[in-house]
Amino acid sequence: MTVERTGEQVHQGRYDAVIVGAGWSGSLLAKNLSERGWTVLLLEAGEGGTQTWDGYLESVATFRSAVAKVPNSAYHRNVLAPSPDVLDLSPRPSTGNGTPPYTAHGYFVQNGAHPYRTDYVRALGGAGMHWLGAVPRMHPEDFATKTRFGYGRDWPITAADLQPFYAAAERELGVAGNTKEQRELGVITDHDYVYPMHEVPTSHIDEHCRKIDGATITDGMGVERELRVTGLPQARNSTPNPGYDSKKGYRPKGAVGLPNYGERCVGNASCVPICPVQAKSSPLRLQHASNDKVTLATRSVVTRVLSARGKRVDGVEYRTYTGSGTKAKAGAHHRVKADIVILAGHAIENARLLLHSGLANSSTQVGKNLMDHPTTLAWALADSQVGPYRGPGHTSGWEEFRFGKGREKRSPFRIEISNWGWSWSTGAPMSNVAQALGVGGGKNGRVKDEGLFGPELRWALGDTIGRQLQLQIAVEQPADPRNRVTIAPDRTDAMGNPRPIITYDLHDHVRKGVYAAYIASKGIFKELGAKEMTDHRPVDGVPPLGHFLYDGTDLTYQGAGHGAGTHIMGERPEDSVVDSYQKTHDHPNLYAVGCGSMPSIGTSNPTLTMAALALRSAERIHQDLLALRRKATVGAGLKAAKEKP
Amino acid sequence: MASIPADVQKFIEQCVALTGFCEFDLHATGMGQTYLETARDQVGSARFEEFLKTLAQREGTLVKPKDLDSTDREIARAVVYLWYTGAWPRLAETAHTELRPNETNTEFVVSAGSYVEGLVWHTFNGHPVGARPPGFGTWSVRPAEPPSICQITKECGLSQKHEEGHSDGVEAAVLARLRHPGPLTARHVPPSVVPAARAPRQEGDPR
Amino acid sequence: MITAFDLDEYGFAVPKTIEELRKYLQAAIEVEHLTIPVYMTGMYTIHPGTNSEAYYVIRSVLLEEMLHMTLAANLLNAVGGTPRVAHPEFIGEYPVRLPMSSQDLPEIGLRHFSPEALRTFLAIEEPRSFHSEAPMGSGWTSIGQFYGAIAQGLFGLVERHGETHVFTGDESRQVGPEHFYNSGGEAFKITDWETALKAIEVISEQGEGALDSIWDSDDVFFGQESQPAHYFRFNEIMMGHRYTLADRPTDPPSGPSMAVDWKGAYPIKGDSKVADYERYKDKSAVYDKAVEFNQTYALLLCALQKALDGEPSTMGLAVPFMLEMRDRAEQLYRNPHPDPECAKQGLFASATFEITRPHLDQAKTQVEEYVAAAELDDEAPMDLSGLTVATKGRFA
Repeated sequence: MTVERTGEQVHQGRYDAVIVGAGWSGSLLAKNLSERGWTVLLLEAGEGGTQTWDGYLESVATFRSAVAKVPNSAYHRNVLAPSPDVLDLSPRPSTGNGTPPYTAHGYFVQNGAHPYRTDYVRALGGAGMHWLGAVPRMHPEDFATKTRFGYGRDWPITAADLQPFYAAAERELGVAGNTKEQRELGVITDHDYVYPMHEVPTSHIDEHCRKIDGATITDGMGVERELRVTGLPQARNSTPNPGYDSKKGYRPKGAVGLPNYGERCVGNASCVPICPVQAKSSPLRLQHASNDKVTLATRSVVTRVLSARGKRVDGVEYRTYTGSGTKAKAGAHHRVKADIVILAGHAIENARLLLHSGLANSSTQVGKNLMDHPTTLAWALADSQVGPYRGPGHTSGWEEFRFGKGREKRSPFRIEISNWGWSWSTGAPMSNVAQALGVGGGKNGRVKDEGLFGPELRWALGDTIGRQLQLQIAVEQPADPRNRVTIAPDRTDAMGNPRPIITYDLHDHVRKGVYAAYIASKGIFKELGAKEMTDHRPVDGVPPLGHFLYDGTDLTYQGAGHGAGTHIMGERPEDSVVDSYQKTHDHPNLYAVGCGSMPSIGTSNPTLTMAALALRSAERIHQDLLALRRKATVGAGLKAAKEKP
Repeated sequence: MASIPADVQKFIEQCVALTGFCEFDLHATGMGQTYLETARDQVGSARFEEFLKTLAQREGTLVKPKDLDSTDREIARAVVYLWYTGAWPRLAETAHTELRPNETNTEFVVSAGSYVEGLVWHTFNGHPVGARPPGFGTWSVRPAEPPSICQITKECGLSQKHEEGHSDGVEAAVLARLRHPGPLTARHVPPSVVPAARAPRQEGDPR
Repeated sequence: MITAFDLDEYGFAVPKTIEELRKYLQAAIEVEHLTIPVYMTGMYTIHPGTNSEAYYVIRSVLLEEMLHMTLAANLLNAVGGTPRVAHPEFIGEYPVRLPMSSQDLPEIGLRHFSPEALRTFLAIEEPRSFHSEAPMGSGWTSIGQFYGAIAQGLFGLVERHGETHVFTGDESRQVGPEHFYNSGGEAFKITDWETALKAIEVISEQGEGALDSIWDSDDVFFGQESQPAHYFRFNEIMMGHRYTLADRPTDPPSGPSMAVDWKGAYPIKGDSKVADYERYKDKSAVYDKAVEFNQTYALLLCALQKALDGEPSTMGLAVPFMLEMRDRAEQLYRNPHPDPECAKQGLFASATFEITRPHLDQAKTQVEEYVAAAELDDEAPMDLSGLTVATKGRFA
């Protein structure tokens, strides 16, 4: 098991590798490197606690008590290791003098034409705590959009290079999926491969949608596709597949902190922000499964990467704090040394740290090419009870608009079929109750006359909430240097570290994708016989957050939590930050890993690809460390020979 | 533990007609005392007593908005919102000004436990999101139709002065009066502040 | 409980024939099951938000009892027997005497979370090592002794007839990890002496501890963390302290304290029966709800019957029924006892865990319908999509 120490205790320590950030990438690397015998220090800026059952239950309670059950609602706001929160943004009426249509409070400084609506959380496990657990692989054509479709950036590696690492990542994360479907999609190419677990059962909503399998839908850009509902691979405990791993089978990994718990999803339907039984995979599992060559220190905010002589780096400087949330108190600065330094924070955190350290930026690309999956919501009332608010967030989707011809015209998109009603689009079902009652008064502040009580209220809510359908359509956003993270000396957090300054917009290809997705959703609802309720129009003259007009049509986008592309990977040091192993071009022992390295993210939730990349990097880091040891041995031998009289 | 206090018992009995849930279901939340205290706290003890007295005159019958004066109507709505969601809503400004002008008028969840006991989940035979999981694979099951207004009225032991006759017509009329929530224009907007859905762009309600 | 009481009366003995062994294993299933309503009551009467540690301790034991029941059924199936669980005589009427245990043991009743309840739990789980070895034919002293007799009997039969003549059961009747989950260790198929012995050891060691130790052997068997055995886990709640690895069975737990609030529970009148509620059925819905609870309990038993009797995939239905029992039980515990006198004393209604023949017949038909509609397939992963919810509170 990982050894836990305080930041003070590890001060002045020396490790084979120091990893900044105990999320998915960091935890995968720590486990993998320690299994190869290397000593690893994992520094986490956020608080721990969730690795104990009591601490985890506290997070569950925090989520339950929150009015807005957003992805970060299970975690306290920490002033010394602040996290961006989707609650930080508000729409602002247009003043006509060029001010952006939003205001941003909180950790991010935002100065783009449109808000960056994605969050992450700086806590043990990182965004791997509040993620949904969706783990589709990327498609071969996603790796070469520039060559094939003339937009975005190509990867220096191909899907084929990643196949074995995808498989390894699926073992580490514990993935349940329908192998046959994914093979038909073209994302799994190994003929003998099966997922560790059978697919998570699909929802009744998926079944409801399957009735239009075979229907032809046209998106707003003239692309026509025949629909077929396809299951989603998920890092969630399901029925183990006895045929996995040459019939060795797979044992689902349960909760951390409570024995014999969480070995199957039981349908809490709250994967985001928190799975109360830990059937959803999280980095805590990897930390728990790591050996004692891994040391973990939480409440240790890395402030700078330290340069050594030449191009090498020496270690990191970090600052500890005590206490928690708004009562956190900053402590002293500390340093540790390591042969390899690995930045494994969120894409934006990695960029911030590189910029602040003044490292790895000979290409001037650090911080640039910030991406997300701008996600447009579409919602409707079905013609029968569909059973929303049950099961994982989404268990199926329509994959047809993700690939192939049409990408040259507009960004592709993946249509997620939501199992959670209109919660994201309208705040349902609580907002249904408020509207049905008529509570809160009218625009004039007076008590409303109309509303329902008693049996009528209960019946009407049951009838209509039970018919809520929602589509979440994630649109690919290509790398674009205009979308970027910068820092400024006068924009710092309470600890004195620079805050990320975000400049963001949706450019033409993406906007076309959002519009195409919106038109496709209309066609789908029509086929389903559902009453469309989608509404992106301004409310009382104020455009909602993420609003833009395309060809006169009101559209909005949400953030997907898929921040990527700030230390982009490439073959050439002139226009990329890291190589295909996520090693910085500029520094032979500095790695920056995570979604920040990805030159494109296709329409796949990026965690799995990030995990595959981390495991691929682990092999290279292992080789680097071996080479360093050999050199040291040879060096020591020479020295000894010289000293001999 | 002491027995259930008389005022809590009475409060629960009075909430049956407001919520459309029977006494058993209200007791089953374990929240009676907490909600009574919350309501007294928010509205003021004396004012809430007054409200309950007004309500008592209508005991055992269905309640319509027009039966109550405007502030009582808003209190009644807040109490129902509490039972349905475990949270106290933002009130109409005029009611708030009359009741608690010096307190902030914002929605809050009473406790982690109250969220779990929200009745709204029962209306469509669901479970609170993030609690009381129904088991692996149950999300594949075809859901039930909710009980009719007649059935609910009967289950609650309420008199049906105006609700005789065929329920279809009644239910269509209720749907016509029902408002849906509109778009959440920012993620921090509390559910009780979300605007109403606007006239749809398209004709053709499937129901 | 008929088989268990039969054997109980007969006194301590080692089964000599395969028929006798099957009888012992049927009794084992009954005894494992007997604890389930007792622990459920203790757990679900806890006020939400209080006694969280104790709640998860009881839950962990409860789930292991379910695993033990499943393993006992796997054993019975492995030796060519047929488990019988959907039967009015399968369950006891609480308060019930615990078979295969010391005669001095008080009757086991359904009690809300309280020191009395914990004393009952401790009595059920008392390790064999607390008693001196009994001579053949004298009374039983502990459930551990009973499993010892099963192991001895099985070993004798294997010695005499050879493994293949003892383990004659059809492997497809075994409940495996793909069917049983959630969690408490892992169900595994029993096909030979080795797996049979492992099952008996799991049951004994999770219950009693490994070889005069406080701790079980989950680390050895399942690669999971080892935990204190049931008796000691309950003793942690009783004493308000955790054990440490250094503690011995005779020591009080010397580890960190555990917050226990005995007031954080709904007090119930544990020997209440639906018949007691029926008198108030015009004034209180408790009667109807208590009957519905028992109907769900019957559904659980019928689903288990099918799962343990050749169609293991039916386990996928049993778990949702059990979770429905959780919700229904909690609703009852929060309602005042329908008898005004009891209510005045601060007593709440309770789930009575009574099963009648009509309940079972009705449940059997319903489970058949569910299984047919879901087209459960022992070879394919679980899929309930063919089902429709007919009853409020089911599958949700």
